[in-house]
Amino acid sequence: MTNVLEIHNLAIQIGESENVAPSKIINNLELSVRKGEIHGLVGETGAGKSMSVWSIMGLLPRGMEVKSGEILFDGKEISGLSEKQFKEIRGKELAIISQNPFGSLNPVKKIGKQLVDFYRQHNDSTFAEASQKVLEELSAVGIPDPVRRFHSYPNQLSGGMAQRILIAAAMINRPKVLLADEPTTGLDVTIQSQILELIKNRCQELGTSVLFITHDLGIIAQYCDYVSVMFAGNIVESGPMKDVFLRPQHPYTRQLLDTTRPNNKKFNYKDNGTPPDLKLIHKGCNYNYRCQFASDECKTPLSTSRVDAAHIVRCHKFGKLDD
Amino acid sequence: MTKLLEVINLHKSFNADGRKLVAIDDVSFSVNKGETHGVVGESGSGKSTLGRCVLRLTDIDSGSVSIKGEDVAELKSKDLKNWRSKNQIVFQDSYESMNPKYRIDWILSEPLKLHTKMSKSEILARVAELLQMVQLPTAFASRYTNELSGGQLQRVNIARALATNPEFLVLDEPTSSLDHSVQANILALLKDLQSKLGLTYLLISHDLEMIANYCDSVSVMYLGKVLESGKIKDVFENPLHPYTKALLSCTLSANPLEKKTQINLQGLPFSPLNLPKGCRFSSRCSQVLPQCLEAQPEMVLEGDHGVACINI
Repeated sequence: MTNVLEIHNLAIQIGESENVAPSKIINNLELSVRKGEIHGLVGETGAGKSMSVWSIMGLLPRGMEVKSGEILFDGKEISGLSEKQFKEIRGKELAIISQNPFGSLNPVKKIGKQLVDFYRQHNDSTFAEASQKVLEELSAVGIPDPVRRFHSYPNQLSGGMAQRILIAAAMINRPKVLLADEPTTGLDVTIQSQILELIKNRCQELGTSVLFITHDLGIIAQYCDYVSVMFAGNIVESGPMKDVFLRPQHPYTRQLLDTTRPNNKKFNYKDNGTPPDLKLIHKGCNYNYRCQFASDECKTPLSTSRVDAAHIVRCHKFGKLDD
Repeated sequence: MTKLLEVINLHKSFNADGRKLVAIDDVSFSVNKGETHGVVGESGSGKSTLGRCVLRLTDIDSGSVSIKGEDVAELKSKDLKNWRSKNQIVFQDSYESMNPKYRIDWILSEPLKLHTKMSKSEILARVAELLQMVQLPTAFASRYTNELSGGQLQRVNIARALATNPEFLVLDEPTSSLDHSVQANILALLKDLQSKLGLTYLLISHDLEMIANYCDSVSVMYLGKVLESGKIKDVFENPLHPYTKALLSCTLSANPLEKKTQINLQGLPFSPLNLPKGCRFSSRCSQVLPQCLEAQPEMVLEGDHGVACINI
């Protein structure tokens, strides 16, 4: 399978000045999303999940800069593109749905008008043609009575409905990659499962790859083909979802999976759970200050070890821990 | 087992622009001393209102809430104040529930100043003890809330609730804003404190996994009504109500080998401003019968396991 999105050696930092050390938000990130797969990116708050997505979209907040590395989208380098060039692919080939759908919709414009604008931004068509297209897309994402919703304002929608509208907006230009940034946080479980099913089915139909960001391991286990576990701006473990979940290698992954079964822990590692100080990131493993197996060698530069062909882990203790 | 909390036929409604919004409708349950009772439901089901009614943070319309045999609504000024020191709450949003202008030691000493006659030095000692109890360094006493992470702040929130040695705590979504590993740490801490101090918890959450792992009994709420209740094992292993079944089928297991058939609920929930005379869940239920639309189903008990559905 070919990779539709590849990130190599990406580093992002903020706040560098003469006498202040920069906070390294992303360092040496390696990630690849293959065509047609759902790739889960999991990690705790501050791990840099959202930041990775923003860097792919060329939407990094002011003051943050890509220090090094490359982002290859469909074989083309996109990290150095100008704003004008980015507008060509953003929303067309690369689409995003975010955690808060209401934040992504204009509250004073009708839903239909907004979606028509999304479509016409990248397609040469009349308003009537675009409207037809929008109505089709709205029914494809399971909106009951699309004509009525076409003329609704965002505040007239429930959270689940608004998220469906955003999925329609993202998919209307048939993107190659959909970046889903915690799209179901804040929704009730019954609605969450509807939205997840929708994303999965719609992307399968259209052959779109998904980079799915979440901190919910249940979503990864049930919906993703591939998973990358992120900690302090780095991927610590990555591989086919079943391999990683059934045979986790990194102490952080093991500890994370244990939290989902508190009465039946497999590894029972200790983890005091304080987030890392991004200013103090050094050459070694970023997890070592929380890891009960840490030793002096963990402060030396890390390399990537292969568990098998596709399953990789970045840990000095790989192969030395009990299973 | 002695009952610590008993709620009987509780009703609570709010006035929304002249219309009646029914938040809690005829809810009854009891919690044994030293146990954890979970209240689970989707947003708008009345879980948080229930927690507030139990602690008399809002007045109830009818019914009764009694803690240790004392009717909560009957308490008068001075007794109420004493009672409050024994019955505390941990709010959902730890940032919002603490004053950012004060240091942690001030925040933790406020309940002590209100409820005890401790001297200054005793208060300081107690603050240090509380921080230790929630496994925070005592140096945190001199910090401000913005210097703490979400998990640390939630620990302070728990320490504040514990300051006056309460017997009963309402935990209103205590970990909903926290990461998984932090969540597990906070819940382990709460469990540990419960066994050490003999606390009784009412745990309000929308997270079914958390309820399954940490509670002894549970009530499943939907639009102000309890649809199913009982011991955790009974309800989670043998759910009877179609809503409970759907909810449980929608929780996603972190074990990739565990595949569940999801019951996708169709239809939309009723508006709490305009409730039907029949079953509240009828608009989304796949097994709805004509009788379901006629009258509210009564809670039928079989041992401890109760369910309000005529289809059972």
